[in-house]
Amino acid sequence: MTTGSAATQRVDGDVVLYWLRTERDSIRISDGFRAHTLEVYEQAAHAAGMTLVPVTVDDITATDAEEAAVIRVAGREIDPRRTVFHTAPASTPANMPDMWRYVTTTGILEAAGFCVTVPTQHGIAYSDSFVFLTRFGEHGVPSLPTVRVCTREIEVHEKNRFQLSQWGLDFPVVVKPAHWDGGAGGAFVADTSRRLSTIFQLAGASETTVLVQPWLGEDTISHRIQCFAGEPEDTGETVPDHVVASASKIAQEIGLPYLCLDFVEAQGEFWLSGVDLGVFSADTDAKTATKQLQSYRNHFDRFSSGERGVRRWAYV
Amino acid sequence: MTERQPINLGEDMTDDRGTEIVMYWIRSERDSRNPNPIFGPMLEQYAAAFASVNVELRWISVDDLVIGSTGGKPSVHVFGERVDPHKAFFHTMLMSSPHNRIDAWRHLTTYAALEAAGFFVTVPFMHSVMNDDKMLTNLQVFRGAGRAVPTVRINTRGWGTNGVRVDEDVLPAAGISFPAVVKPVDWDGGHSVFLAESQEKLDALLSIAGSADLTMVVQPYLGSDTVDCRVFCVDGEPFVMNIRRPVDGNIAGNVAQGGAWGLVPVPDELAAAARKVAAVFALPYLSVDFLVAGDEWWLSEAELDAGSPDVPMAAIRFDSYRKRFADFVRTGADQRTWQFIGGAQ
Repeated sequence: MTTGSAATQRVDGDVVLYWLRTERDSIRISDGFRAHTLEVYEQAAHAAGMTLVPVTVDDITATDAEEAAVIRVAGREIDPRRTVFHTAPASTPANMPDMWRYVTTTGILEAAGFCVTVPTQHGIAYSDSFVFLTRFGEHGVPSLPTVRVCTREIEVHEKNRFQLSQWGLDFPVVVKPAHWDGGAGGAFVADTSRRLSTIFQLAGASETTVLVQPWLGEDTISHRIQCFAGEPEDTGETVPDHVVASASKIAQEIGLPYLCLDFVEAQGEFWLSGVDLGVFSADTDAKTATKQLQSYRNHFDRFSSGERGVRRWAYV
Repeated sequence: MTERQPINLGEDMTDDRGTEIVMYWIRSERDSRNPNPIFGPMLEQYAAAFASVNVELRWISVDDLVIGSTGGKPSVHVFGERVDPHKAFFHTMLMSSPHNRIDAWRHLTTYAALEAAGFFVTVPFMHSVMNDDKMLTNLQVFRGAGRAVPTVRINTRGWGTNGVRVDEDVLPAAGISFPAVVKPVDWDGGHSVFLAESQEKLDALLSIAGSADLTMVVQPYLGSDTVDCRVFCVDGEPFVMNIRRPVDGNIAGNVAQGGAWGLVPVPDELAAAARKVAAVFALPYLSVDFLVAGDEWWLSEAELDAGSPDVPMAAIRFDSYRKRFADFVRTGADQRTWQFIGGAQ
């Protein structure tokens, strides 16, 4: 297959890490993206003995006719023994039109026996922060109280659909997208009914599902804990032991080679607030990227060696 | 603009213990304001079927659901009213036909949220993904149950218009020659199933499909005498087969395409294969489709919410949901299959 993506570039490494992206940005890779994101992860992959190649779902062709399925990337048949796919779905608005094709393609790759960094069901379930918060609020640190509201035609149905008092919440509240790469970005503080309706309606323009949560105040501190193969990084003394223990429990249960857990601290209390499945982002430093990519490489090596339990299909 | 109201299609809805049970059927919101009249006969059939199994049916869209966890325990509201997980469950089969595709993400994440909130759903969200991308079913579920139809799955964005194409040896390598069947990977009802007699016609079809970024599959044409045999299963056990035959030169024998149909007992060989597929899915109700040409047969697809040809069949289907839900309530344990099917380690 011939496309305009980088999939046609020469592949030299022992192991190829295909970064599966949606096609919304693949025709023209901007200078900013190349300098602040792509090159950082390319170098990190190189350090882990892998060659990073960004591809889109369009570059994938699958054949099911023999004993084993055949996957081609940009026309070239690829070998599951030397290939891993980075499959953290970027669920930001620009990518939403392609999400169905993205998750079915990652499903195909898994079913065809390829190692992926984020299984399809994790990509769907935990890109929506509500599912994550509901599943893991009893692991030592409570989840932020959260209400999940669909916003299509909210201007018509708001009164019947959602009333703050029904959920034991008071103004001000935070309203933010339920996905958008782990719920990051787009947070809005609503302190009146009118402001809440206004932000609902703006989200409704794109039918974006939102979360409503209590606003904990201006002194709220965010803590992000990176976890590698179920083990939290050393956080020093920035968070108490029970938060690190909670992070450890959650990371082990989810079982991904890499993820970030988010907690917020307000008035001495800690709350579980979100998860990032490892979407490559522009604000990642080289050291962090290198550790993330090395964890993927370790995961791939265990996967390739047939170690039981590495490939997690269970809904967790 | 008027408020949408739930449609109550039955009376005297009680479960085995005398309490009311409601099944919320989450439909695409693309048809929720003005139900398409083409669904009239289906709605009448369902009304009769639900009445016979003592379940109240309410049609909703994902937009009608608010799911929250603010008091330490998750809860679900529909139309602003709290729903009791012991008295209500949700039918959660994703529709991935073209006008619904824009909502796929919202549906899948809402199904996942319902599951996480502890509600019984008829189809877990990953099963919907499996069901709707037919090649995924083939790769995971059909291994060991029988021979699947050889398939090449192609993303069509930019096909022809942007210089995208597949190398000419890909189809022959899969044992596919012309004429070949070409169809969307995730539609239902036998819609848009084409026969391409040549590479040129295949290119033309894929170019048109590319205008909507459709994912298409190419399969061998098995001949005009091919029939589609749909084996219905309840709790994993095959109980009847619907033979569907294309008419008037159609490629697909689906009823929606005017195909002729008839219910017959399930042949042992197909029952054995269907039993294996059903065991993997572990759902209360599903069908397994086979293509049969002469003495040969191929597994075609699993259909997790296959439409029912008549009221008694629909009643069997919905009663299977009711019984599984009753087990869910009685045991306090989830009867759903949380494992991603295929479970390779």
